[in-house]
Amino acid sequence: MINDRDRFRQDKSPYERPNFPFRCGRIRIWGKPCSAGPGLNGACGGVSECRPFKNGDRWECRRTPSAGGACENGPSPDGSCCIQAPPCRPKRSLRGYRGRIGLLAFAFVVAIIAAFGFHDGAGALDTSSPGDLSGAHANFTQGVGCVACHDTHDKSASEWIQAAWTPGDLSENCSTCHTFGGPAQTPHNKVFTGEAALAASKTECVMCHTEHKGAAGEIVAMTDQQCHACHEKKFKSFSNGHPAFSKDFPSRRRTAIAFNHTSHFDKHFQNKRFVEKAPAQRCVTCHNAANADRNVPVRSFETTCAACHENQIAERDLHLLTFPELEENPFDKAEIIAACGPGEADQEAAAAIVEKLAAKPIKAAANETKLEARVREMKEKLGLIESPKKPETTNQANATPQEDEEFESVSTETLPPLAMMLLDVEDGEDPESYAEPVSELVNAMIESGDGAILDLLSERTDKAKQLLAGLSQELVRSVGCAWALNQEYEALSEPVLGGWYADELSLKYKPLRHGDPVVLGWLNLATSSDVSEDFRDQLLSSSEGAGACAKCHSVSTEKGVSDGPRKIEWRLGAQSGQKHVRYRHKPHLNLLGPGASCETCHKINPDAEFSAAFKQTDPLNYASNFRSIEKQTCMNCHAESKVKQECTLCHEYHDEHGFRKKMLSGDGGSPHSAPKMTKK
Amino acid sequence: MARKIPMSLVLFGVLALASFAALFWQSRLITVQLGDASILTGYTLFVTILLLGMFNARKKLSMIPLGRARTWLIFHVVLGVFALALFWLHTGGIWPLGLYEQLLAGSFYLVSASGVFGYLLQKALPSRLTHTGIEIIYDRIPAEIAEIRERAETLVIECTKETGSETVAQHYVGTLFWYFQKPRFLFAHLFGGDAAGFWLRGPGSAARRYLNDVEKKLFDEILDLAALKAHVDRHYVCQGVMKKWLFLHIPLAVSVVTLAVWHLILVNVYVL
Repeated sequence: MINDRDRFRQDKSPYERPNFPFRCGRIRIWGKPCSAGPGLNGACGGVSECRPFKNGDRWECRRTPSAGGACENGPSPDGSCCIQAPPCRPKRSLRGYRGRIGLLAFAFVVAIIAAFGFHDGAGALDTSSPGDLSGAHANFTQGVGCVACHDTHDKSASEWIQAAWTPGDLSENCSTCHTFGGPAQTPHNKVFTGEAALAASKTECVMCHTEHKGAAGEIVAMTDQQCHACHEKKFKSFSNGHPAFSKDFPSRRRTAIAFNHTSHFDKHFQNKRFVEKAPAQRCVTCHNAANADRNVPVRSFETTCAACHENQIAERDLHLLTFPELEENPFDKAEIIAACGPGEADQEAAAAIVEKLAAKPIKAAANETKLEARVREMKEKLGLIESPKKPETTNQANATPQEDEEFESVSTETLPPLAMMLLDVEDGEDPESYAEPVSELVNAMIESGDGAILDLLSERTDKAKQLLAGLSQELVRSVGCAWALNQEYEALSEPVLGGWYADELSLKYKPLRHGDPVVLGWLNLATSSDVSEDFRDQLLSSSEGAGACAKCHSVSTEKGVSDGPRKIEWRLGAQSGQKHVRYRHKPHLNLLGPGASCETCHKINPDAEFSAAFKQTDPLNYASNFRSIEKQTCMNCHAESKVKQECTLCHEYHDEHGFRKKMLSGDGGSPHSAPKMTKK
Repeated sequence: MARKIPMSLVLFGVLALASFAALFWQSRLITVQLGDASILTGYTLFVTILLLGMFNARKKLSMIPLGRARTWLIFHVVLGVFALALFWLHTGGIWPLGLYEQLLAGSFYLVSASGVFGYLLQKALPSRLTHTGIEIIYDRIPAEIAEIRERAETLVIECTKETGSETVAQHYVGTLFWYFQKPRFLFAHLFGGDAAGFWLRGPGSAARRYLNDVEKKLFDEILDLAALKAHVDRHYVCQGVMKKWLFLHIPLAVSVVTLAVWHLILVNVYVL
């Protein structure tokens, strides 16, 4: 019984160990289990009480003592046990069941992985996706799937095994779509040289950007401590240790427009003539607060500067060509008249000759009629045909009618630099050097009109058509004819609305409006590196001609190299050059209210030598109209227990982050279609 | 008197706390230095899960002296709590986003919950079994019940032979046989109730008033056997529950290990 402590003695108890996989089936009906118990294979072991042993020629009972010892009847003659019982159906033990369920769980999980583990698709149990992608990434990768970023996704099993042991480079795939102002995998996309290059460690996109955080997941979050992991100068927070702003913050770079706030506010707008045009709402009259972001954009020329400066634009003509002084007449008058018709003076001379000839008797040749003889005489007089040779006298031997009268050029001008560039002439003041190319151009103008200038210009720029837009063939031809006949061109009317026109000895362009594309094109041509300095200086001269544009639009060289390529700052906008600083005006304007609140931070500095900065081309050599913004100004709000002051609130990590063009020209041309993931 | 806290629990607890603090600090340091702390926490968690599985292996290798089972249990429990904390450190939250990770997290939470449930069972039920005053091997219980029943039936036959009265026999056949047939009043035993004793004092012994002294003596012996069977029944239920909760815990643990292995493969193939 239970209380008998000896009941588990080896000779008394069929001890059933818990690790046996089967138990006697009689316990199913709560019967007494047999002493033998089932075998390890689950077969019943209790059909007979024992397995008799043959000792010599006799069978002996081998029933265990715990089962009662040797039975009275003993084994049957055939050696079988005399006590037989029907077999039971052994029952699996608890541990046996547990092992099988454990195996089933393992098989179930493996089956799930096998069924769904390699599936690439939204909505299904995709074991390879640790979460939805952020909205932007999800859109353009939906056509390609995981392979857009993970090269190994659709690889074979052997490549998977290889990939498991090979370091991956996810960041490399990021740059198949993203572009930066510098190398993708250096700190702040900066190019390091020398010792700094050795010290700068390689950066990975995944160091800061962790994807698969859901459609609305924040994948650009970065803590201040992470910034300090690299930056040597460490501080607690913006208000506690951040370095003071530089003395030229935020205006390190010259503005695109040379608008002197000091002189306008303190001088021009105080002038009685302009006081009515003065900005009533100060800053926001010209700056559009509704579109404020990093900058508060300047409104259009028409709504700001035009009120005072629009008329100045139409006064600044572009001089394309001026007919220069010639020492000799290089034109064949007969040919010119044949091509253009006689000039006004020639028509008057012809009338006088006709009258004279009419009073003269006709000397007809033998084979001529009277009418033919009269026409011949008239042509001889007009110099259109040569006279028949007469016996020459000594004085008359080498004389011609042209040599008899001295040539006097209608022009006293020199060849302007723009025409020098067109004709490839080195000295615009030396008639000998430019007479031939000028005469060729004028002849070509007569022959093919504007095509003559277009051909010359096309040799120098591929934007020749834009530069000559609106130039009519008839105008050029008429001008050529007049000049070839050594006459001033007489324009029929003044150009009221602007465009190409000619007056006397010049072919000019009058700007139609602010931002005129023809003038813009010529000025851009002037900034290219393959033009002469004279040409550049003439076109960009703010004192005369179309160069007046450069009076307001600053002309800059890259990175302060004075002889480097120049550009005219046509576009307004961010010019700070501080790549890693970001600031949003809008929330601040909403808080402080637009208008006078601008001057809370932007305080005019009347002592700054603002205008001097625009007399040279280095955009970084600049003195702003405004005083530097001080850190304390920001700290009035951004400080401990006030408004937040994380590093990333004002600083952005990347330099000129952008996207590759193929993002827009993916399969199907849709912006949302997947890009082809080919590596550079 | 306050219960003495096992030394091994203190030792493992302090070790686990120190390890977690070190891991937390190191992972924070890695994150601040723009590294991926989940590699450290992930691999540590995986090794922890494997170590937790060693507890089952230790039970199978009972012939090898690998320390006391009680020490192993404490180690298993402390490591389980450590794994849960490490899991949160690794995932950075309570519930991940990916469906597969949710499956893994769900399995992990279930195996943790079943572990807590099992630990509570192991704390609550053994004391109740000690109160029965008997020790019995779970696998022998059917045999013990059969033996008790056999003894009771022998007493019934002996009573009938000695007294010539069938009162006890009829009561046994009509009432007590049902009780001796197999474990009864399982829920009452599980939740600490005494429904079996109440039944024995009522319907189970209802015939006693009609018996003579000889019958009463034998009938009381039968009732003693019935009381003993109540203890056996309690062992059957409580030991059964203490064994059967593993039917949830172990398959879930197997699932977690399998899912974790696949997760590890995916991370190595796709990210690292």
